[in-house]
Amino acid sequence: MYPVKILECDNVLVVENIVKKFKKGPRIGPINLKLKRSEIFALIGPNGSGKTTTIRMILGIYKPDNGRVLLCGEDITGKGARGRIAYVPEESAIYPRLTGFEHLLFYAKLYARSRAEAEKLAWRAANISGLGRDLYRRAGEYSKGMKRKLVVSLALALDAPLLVLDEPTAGLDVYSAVTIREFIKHAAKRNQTVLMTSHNMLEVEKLADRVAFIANGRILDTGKPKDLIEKYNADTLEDAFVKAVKGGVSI
Amino acid sequence: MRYGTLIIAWKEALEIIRDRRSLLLMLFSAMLFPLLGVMIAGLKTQQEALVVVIMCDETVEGKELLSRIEAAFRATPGFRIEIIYTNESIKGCTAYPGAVATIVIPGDFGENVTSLDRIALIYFYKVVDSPAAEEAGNILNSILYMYSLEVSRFRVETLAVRAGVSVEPDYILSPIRIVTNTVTRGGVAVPPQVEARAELARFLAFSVFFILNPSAIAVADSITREREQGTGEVLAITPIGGRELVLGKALGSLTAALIAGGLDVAAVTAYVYLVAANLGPGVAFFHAAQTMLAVMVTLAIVMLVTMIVPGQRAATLLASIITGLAVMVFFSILFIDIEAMPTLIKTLLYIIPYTHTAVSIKAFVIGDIARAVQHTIPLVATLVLATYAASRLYSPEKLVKRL
Repeated sequence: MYPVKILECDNVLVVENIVKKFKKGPRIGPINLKLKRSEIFALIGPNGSGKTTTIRMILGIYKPDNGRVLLCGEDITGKGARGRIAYVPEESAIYPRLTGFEHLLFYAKLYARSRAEAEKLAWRAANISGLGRDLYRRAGEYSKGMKRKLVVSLALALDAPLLVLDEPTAGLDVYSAVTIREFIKHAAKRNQTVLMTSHNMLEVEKLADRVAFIANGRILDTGKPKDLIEKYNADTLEDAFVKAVKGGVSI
Repeated sequence: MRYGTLIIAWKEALEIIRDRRSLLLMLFSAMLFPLLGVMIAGLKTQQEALVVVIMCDETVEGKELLSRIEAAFRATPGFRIEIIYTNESIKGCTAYPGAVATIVIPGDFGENVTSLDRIALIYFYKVVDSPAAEEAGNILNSILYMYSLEVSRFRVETLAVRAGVSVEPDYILSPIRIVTNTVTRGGVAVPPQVEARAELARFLAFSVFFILNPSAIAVADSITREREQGTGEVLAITPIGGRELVLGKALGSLTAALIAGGLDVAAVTAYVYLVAANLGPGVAFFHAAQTMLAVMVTLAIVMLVTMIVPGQRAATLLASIITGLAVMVFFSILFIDIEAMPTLIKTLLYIIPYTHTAVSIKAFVIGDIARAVQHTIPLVATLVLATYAASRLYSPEKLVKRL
């Protein structure tokens, strides 16, 4: 429940050997991750590599068949963190018939313990979004960038210890993408831990403290972008990723 | 009730109220019902069906029958009557071109009617596949029935005088009579005004379909919409639980149900006013309450099935099946007596919740309140059980799109 205190722990998220097997589809895992406080951690992989499934297992939407997920030492496997993880999905998940502010207020009410607290949270998110008077327009009329800002602003306003962002800048124009990146950096400065996925290697290289390469449902390698570039004797993170994939499991 | 339930219900209400397309569809569909009444009653008055009487008889009896026929058709809206006098024999008197019905009073009509041992024939020609011609036939039959009775009385009295006996002509003409009493299924006598409502009751039960259909479609995708627009994924990780979510959705559907109920009251009132039916406000409100219940039951069933079979296609298919079932039930109620069905068919029909909606409305309109309540109970039970089962089957996985 909001307001959530930034948890005083070094390993905010620990993912131990989580595995998910669908009736139809590939097996994802075993996945092992360890995210530190204030860290921006990026999960990089091609479409269908298991990024979203991994995120859903962390969030408690999917119950892993094996392994466990720990949030500051607390086992949250399959049940989620109930408000202690803020999440921005790949699609701009908005209610088109609600205004931007109603949208924020709706989620704020779900997280807050009182109406006053909910209004405070909604206003905080409104300020972060920078949408101004547009907040009183229906969210269905927003551009993709505005929708993204709305969803991300709420996630940031929650002050959750862990912020999970699935493709946060996908499909956005340059200006909107820059704003979202600023949001992410700001969150990390505020002691929030960020787990993000992205196809934009340049963005990850600039933004992430550490990255994990994922392909065919498995983590191929983990490290700082600079270290991975050196390790694979590559010029860019993109090159390093391609080499990691070719050297590991075929792409 | 938990706070989360009310928040979800509030959001659902806002979404429903702002869904202009669905609201317009509900309004249009609701008004189809009184429009149907106006169409049936109103268009009939615009009808100009020509009935031609070919008069070949100049006797007093022939003229008396003609005046009765003329009066009856002139008093009935939708008919135009023309009389053609002719001296031709019956061979020359046939169907008149352009008329839906032709009535021929032959030249020997008066002679035959006043005799004691002959039959007087009237020739009636009706156009095939014309409801107006069928109605003209019914009007003519009722005139002839009354006239024939008078002729019979005259013949009996004449014969009695000749035989030198005193008789009551009606006892000879109708020695056996039926004494009809209309009762409820429980055997309680029904006053004549209620009996007059019975036919209307079937139509009122059928009319639920008009408003239920668009309302059910408006609320049916409540869960799958969250999944398709991606909001379900965000909702799934909020502190709200499955029970609160499902209850909130059910409570939110009350908004659509209330709108449907309001439109229903307006539609039934308009219908009652337009067709001058003798119904009190209680019927309109009970009808609206049943419509609201049917809308909420629909959402509860769709939510339950969505929890078992996820997917937009499944929800669409289910909404189509439910709509189909509703059409089947509400349409069949116009023609069949469910109580008179064999046990197996009756049981199958009663499994469909809308059967109870239709039966309870029919029962309420004819004043059988106990039966109306009895058939409302399964609807309420379905609503509660389906909502409960949906909340038990909920898991966050059900709110997200499969990858």
